[in-house]
Amino acid sequence: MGFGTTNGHADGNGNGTSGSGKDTADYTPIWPMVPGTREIGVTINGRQLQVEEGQTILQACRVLGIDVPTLCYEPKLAPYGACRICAVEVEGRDDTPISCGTQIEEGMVITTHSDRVIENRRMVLELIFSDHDAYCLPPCQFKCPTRVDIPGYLKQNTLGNWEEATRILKRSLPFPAILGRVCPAPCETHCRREEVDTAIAIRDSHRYCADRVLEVDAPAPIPWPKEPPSGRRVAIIGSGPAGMTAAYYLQLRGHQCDVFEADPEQGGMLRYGIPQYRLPKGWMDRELNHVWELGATFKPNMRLGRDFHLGDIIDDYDAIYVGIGCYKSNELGIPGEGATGTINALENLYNSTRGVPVPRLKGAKVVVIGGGFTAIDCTRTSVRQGAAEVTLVYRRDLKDMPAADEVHEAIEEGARVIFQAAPTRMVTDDAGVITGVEFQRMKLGAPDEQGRRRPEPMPGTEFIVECDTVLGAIGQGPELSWIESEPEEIRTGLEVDRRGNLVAEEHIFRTNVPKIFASGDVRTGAATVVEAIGEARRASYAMDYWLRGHDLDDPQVRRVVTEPQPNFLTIVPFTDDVKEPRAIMGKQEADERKGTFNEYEFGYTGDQAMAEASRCLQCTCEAIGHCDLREAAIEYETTLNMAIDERSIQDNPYVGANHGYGRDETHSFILRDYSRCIDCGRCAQVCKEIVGAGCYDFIGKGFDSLVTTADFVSLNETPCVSCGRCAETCPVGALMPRPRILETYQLDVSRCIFCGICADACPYDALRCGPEFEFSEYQRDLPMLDILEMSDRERPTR
Amino acid sequence: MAGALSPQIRILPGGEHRLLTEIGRVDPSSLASYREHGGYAALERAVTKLAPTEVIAEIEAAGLRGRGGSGFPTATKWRVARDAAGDRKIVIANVMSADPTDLGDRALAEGNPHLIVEGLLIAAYAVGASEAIIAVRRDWTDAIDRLQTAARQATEAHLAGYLVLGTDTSIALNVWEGSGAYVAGEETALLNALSGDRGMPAIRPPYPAARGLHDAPTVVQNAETLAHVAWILAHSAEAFASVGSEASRGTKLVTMIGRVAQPGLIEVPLGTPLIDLLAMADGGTGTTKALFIGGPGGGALDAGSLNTTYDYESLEAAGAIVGSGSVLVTDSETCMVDTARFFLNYSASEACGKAIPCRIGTKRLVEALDRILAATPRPNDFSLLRELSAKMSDTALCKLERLAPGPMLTTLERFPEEYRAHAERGVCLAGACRVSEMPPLLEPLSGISSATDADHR
Repeated sequence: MGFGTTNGHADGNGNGTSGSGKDTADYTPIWPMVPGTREIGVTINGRQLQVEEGQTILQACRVLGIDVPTLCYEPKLAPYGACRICAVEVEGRDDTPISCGTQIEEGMVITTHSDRVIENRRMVLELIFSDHDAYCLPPCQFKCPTRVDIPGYLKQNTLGNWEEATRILKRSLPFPAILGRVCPAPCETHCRREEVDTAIAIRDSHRYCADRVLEVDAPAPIPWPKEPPSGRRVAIIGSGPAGMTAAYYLQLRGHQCDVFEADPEQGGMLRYGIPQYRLPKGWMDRELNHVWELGATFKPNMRLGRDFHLGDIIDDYDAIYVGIGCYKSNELGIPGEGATGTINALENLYNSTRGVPVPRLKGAKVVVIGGGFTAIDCTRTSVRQGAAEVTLVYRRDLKDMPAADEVHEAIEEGARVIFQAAPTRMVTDDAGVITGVEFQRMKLGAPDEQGRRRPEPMPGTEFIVECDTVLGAIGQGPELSWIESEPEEIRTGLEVDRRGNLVAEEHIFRTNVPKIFASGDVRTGAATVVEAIGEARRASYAMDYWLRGHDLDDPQVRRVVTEPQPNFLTIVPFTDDVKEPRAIMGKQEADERKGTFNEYEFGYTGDQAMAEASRCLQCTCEAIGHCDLREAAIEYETTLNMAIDERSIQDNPYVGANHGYGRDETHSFILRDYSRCIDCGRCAQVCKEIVGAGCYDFIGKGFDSLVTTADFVSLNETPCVSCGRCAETCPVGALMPRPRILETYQLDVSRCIFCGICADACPYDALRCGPEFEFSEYQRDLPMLDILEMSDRERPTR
Repeated sequence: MAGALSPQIRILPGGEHRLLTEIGRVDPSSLASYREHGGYAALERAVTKLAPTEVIAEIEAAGLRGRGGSGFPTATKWRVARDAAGDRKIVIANVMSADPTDLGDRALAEGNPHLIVEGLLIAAYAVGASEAIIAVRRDWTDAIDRLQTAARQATEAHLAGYLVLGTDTSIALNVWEGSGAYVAGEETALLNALSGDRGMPAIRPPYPAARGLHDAPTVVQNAETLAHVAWILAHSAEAFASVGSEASRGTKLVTMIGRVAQPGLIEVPLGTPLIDLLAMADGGTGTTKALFIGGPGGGALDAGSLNTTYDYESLEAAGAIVGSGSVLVTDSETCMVDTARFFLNYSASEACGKAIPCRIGTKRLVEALDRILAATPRPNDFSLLRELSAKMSDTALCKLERLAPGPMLTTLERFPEEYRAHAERGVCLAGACRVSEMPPLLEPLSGISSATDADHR
């Protein structure tokens, strides 16, 4: 069932510190027993232990640090017994008693994580999720490799707060303006707004706010204050998206980075692979320069294997990050491939992006083979270089094409596109010069693991496309021949997998050679810019952790536990009727743009960007990071796929009727979202028994039971005293302290008597009594509280 | 006569009438009439001649077990409550009739309310309780009227209240009306409802006999049990134990409904074979397909099991329960799947909502049955029915949740072909797929859903 593999519970030893790698042979009580209480001997998970008499099984387990999950248990109150997931097995009992309500007795033999109770816990969780219309991460954010806080920055965009929006973006991706132009936007295909009208233009929105920040001549916003220098030095090999991202975050953490680049200028594939019309290089440099603003140094014209070796520098640095990307084109593997007239696609882009005319392409009849971004870039570049005729041939259909979004623009510019055909041979004349390419029609077979249908050749359907130039762009791999010239210990340590990629551990990106880390395309094979950035950011976190002297095996184990991010997200489609069209960026007409390498999309206006951001449904949960349900779901691998069409009943067998309740924002301090409520009854108990107000109770019967106020009235109409106890006890995000968004406030200094009450009362120490006896104004450039960042940091499970 | 029973309650001859003897003969609104038939002699004997422990000993000698469903020995429960520390002790008569198919409690409450009152007062005396409460469901207006009258008459006659029958025993007697929810039959749920909360079960232990209503030791007995108590004290433990099976002594009120010529209430010694029960209701044994015994938490026995005896152990071994004593007879024109769905849906819609697996799980089971009935099952629906039921029973908060899948599981085991025909071919082998089209079958069930949500709270 896969459960035991991640946290070691399969052996029946729930150890409470799942995955921390700690030897759990000793259950040491976390606080000593009260002197004078009687100790009794019990057996928990096969261990003879002494516990205090009079405790429940759950209390005893918590004292011993043995993890038993709970949802409805409120330590301040008598056990309630609603959620049933704290049940354990006790020898000699047929049923599985709930540990919160069972007294521990002398000689009890208890198993907290037997297969039976694990299955039962999973059953409860799956049942809860089958009626849980709520999100943890919004689907857009979950689908972004960098996990950038999309609702967060869009909210700032609606306020026109471009700098704050950019700051939020830069927490997860340092180059929002670049990605705003070149990202394939996997986020947008999963936007829940699609269920209302059309998806939010997430990419175009961050392009706008990041551009505004680049426009002004001021230091770029940084996601959090730069740490003081750590004294560590890091060599970054490659100044592409991966290397620059790693340098950005390592520099922020106080490590001194030297960035080695083979070419004369920064950017890697951003500069030499992506054409000017998609990413203007001057603008790109402005954003990449943020890395140098943080103090990193650039070492151009340093090609690994030619100008230096890792062996030369490894002693000078505390760590080396290899982010050299994929520069080796895959071969077509068909007869006649080396014939005159074939051009390396990357070489072609390398020349074109530097603005060098490629004489060969002028007036040529060009065939481009492939369906990725390199292929489409070659196609559109060839058009701009003045080719007479450009034909793009792809073996699958449009739907499965990685660069599908750009195809219609290429066609507008005059290119011809042929789908479902694969090359079989080059047609050459007697002199070995290409005159055409022979293709074979492909039919679409069974879907592969990514859901793309596998092309299958159809013999007898061959046809020839006449041409004089062929650009093969069917993928790239990393160029790793430099490994051979490394010294012994590095050469033998670095491993290359069967797909030709450099091997580094998942999650922590460490290679077999100490100090050397690798991520990005060199590890994964050619992928998108955003994937490289996501990898590099995580690698920088791992390196930072390691540079600070911690053991990387620790996060590795925890990553394995937490990385399978649960997809248990939406169940109910969004139904409110709030139709509003998506804002579309202006762009040049095809005739105008096809002769020039200038950027052809104009970007939003400010009003457009604000309007577009306000379309965001903000499908995010404020409780992420401290939700007991999510924690249990991760631990018990209970998932439900997030997108409606991806959901299958194998994932959660209990999918069925469900409730979509509203949200109550009428109260000033308590935010209620019934859809997230799991009906554990904790708030009702706490409010009645501790506070004495009794605002909540169960209403309704059967499946429709719900814990809420009488007849769903606002909390304002109940005896609520705004104490917040209900929000404190809520195990999920159904009851939350309401975020108080103070957009503006006025302070009349002429009336201030300096009583200091405001300073005393401020919960965040934003106002303080300082040495100068007067108010001072302060700019808000200190970082905001970052809930997502906090959630990224795993808490030890109880 | 002023004491007519509600129309759906018919008392059938046959069996051995003990509790039913006086119904129809005694005027339920008259203490004098009850006394003419020998009423309150048992209470008088208990209070004036016996020590409380002797009363308990007599009940123990009779071998009386709770008639509310679980069959827990009454004397044991009383002894726990009697021995528990505390000045304040409470006894409660449960006339909530958890099981809607059961007619016994209502017949007693409407036909001979003083019998319940007398049994309750004896219980109070035996336990040492100073408070006795009759909890009756609100929609039984006739029963409430008569129980209130009986309680008032008993108090005025010094059979209850201050210094009962001139002794130093005082028992405050009250009638409490609550909304009739299925779950209120569960004693902890009833206690929660009595204390003003929503009627939802609580964790046991502590058992109410040790710590119950207002934290006082509390004995909750079903109305029929209390009637038996009065009968035992009026006659004798030996007389009570003269009939019955080895472990289950005495008689039991059984409601025969469904496809029988004479649906109604019978009283039979425990241990009577099911086939005799059928005969008393003129059930055509030739056409009988299955007996659903024990209501929504019970189970189905097929026609081949008619020699099973009606007592706690045999029925449990056969997959059913005594429950509150209803037997739903079905014939070849009754669809087993639909009947199972009916019971399960009743459990699902009556769920109190506290235990999460019960609230959502019962609903999911009903949905799976609906898919099977509609011939659109998911591939794993049958395993879902079995596995989810097993896991729910494993983690159940209360007995009603644990037993809820019973009718479905037993029919699934005994009539798999009907399930398969529905699921695979969309064919009902019984040819009649709506329980609602079988009026005689469900007449006693009418009105059970009248309790509104507001009442339920």
